[in-house]
Amino acid sequence: MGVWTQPDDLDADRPAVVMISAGVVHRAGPWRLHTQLARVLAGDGFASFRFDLSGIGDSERRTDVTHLREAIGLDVSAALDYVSERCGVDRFVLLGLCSGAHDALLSAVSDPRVVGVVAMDLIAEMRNWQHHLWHVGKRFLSGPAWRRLLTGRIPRLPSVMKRTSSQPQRRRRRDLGLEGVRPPLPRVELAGILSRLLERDTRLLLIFSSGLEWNYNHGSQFEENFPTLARHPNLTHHFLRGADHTLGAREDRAAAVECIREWLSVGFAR
Amino acid sequence: MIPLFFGEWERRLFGAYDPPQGIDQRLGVIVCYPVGPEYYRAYSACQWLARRLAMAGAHVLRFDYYGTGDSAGDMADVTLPDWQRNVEEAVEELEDLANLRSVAAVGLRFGAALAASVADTRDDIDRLVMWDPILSGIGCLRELESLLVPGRSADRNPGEPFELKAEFYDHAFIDSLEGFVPLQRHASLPPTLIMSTRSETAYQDVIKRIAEAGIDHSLALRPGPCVWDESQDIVNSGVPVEALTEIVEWITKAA
Repeated sequence: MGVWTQPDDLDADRPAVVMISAGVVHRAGPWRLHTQLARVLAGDGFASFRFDLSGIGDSERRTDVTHLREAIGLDVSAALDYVSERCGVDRFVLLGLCSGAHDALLSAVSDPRVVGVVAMDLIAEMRNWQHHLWHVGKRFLSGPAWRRLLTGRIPRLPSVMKRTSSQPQRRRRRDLGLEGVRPPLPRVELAGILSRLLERDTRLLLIFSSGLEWNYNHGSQFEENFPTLARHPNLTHHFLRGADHTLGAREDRAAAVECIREWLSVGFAR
Repeated sequence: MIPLFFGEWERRLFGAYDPPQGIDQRLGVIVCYPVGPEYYRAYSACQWLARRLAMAGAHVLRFDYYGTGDSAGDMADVTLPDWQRNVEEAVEELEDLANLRSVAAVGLRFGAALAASVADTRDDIDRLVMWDPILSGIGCLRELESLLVPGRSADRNPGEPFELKAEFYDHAFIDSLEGFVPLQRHASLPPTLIMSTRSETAYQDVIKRIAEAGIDHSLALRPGPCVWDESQDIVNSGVPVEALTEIVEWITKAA
């Protein structure tokens, strides 16, 4: 089940944006992100299709495959086929948040019709030593830490570091409702996926928020992890400091939407 | 499921219509979603219910209120009467779609309040199910306030919109919610089932008000996953099968 939104003057040479379910939220997206985005993009001349993966929202659960990754690949491929046949568009930008970002990247690799990917708050292995440093620094510079310092109760390093250990991370993933959605994409696998997509001239926009701070907490973290890829002209990455995982605050959402609009208009101009 | 848009084009509503499977009971059921975060959480359970009702021979229409889901508009334009009007439009759409003998309404949480307020004013809704109802605008507002962006104040300045997660709620809407209390003393509702997936005491106030209004009602206590509740694991908790099965039986038996 999906909803097709098209501009008044549909240009079949421009790619259509296909929005993939975020977690178990149906096609409208978290806090209606996909519905709002579809309408804004239609105003910019981009058609879009927001749809429910099988077993989510109003789409039936698949019975022909048992492996989740295979099912998602077939779902995305079916969505692109449908839009191609109905609307004559044969180039696509896949867009997804959280598990949707994961699914967008993996689906793009196997489908040459995909010419762009917008991956928002992708859950991948991103923590590096700088992440730990930022984390520790932030805790040391926080008000409670100074209060403790001024009152002689100096925090011990192990207590500062403990929040970066794997157990609290799992707890935070669970608290965010991420447990059981998708495992974090290993760093090496992500590098391979991005490289393959860039090699075939796919444009990539990666947006990270502060919502998954346990994994991503500063703006240069992507280029620290992937210095060569980050310099590629077809790859753009943004960090929305202070934004939550589902872009709940209006200004954060507006910033993300603006970022996507600009990226689309520059990369896929008429 | 057949997707459709209905209502005025500029204010069109998205509907999901499940036609009857097997014998057509000529029974229509509208399903009124909860609002705010509960809408997202309960979507699958409402869909499950709609399918089971269709399998039992009912014509079922679920729909997104104006400014929500796939329907037109933004929350900044919404008023409470808009949503009540949407429920009426859904009943009329279903009556246009099928040659019905009777119509029932199922409302979950604040959807129950909207369904009850409309059932109070129409004589073509023959049965009402209030599933874990919130029967006051204040109660709904409390739920919406849980959507406040962290760090933002719940205090509102007159004339300024009220910001919740990614959406602005107009002042008039919030004010109208504060004053909204369906089921006044002279309410006239069809036979009503109150379905609780929580404790026996959770809806004493609702039951008292319904009893005071002299409405033919029954209470079913079927503890199960509170699909709308933020504390539930949305991925693994499943749907309250026992409660939903009873709703289907109660509606179709009467038809």
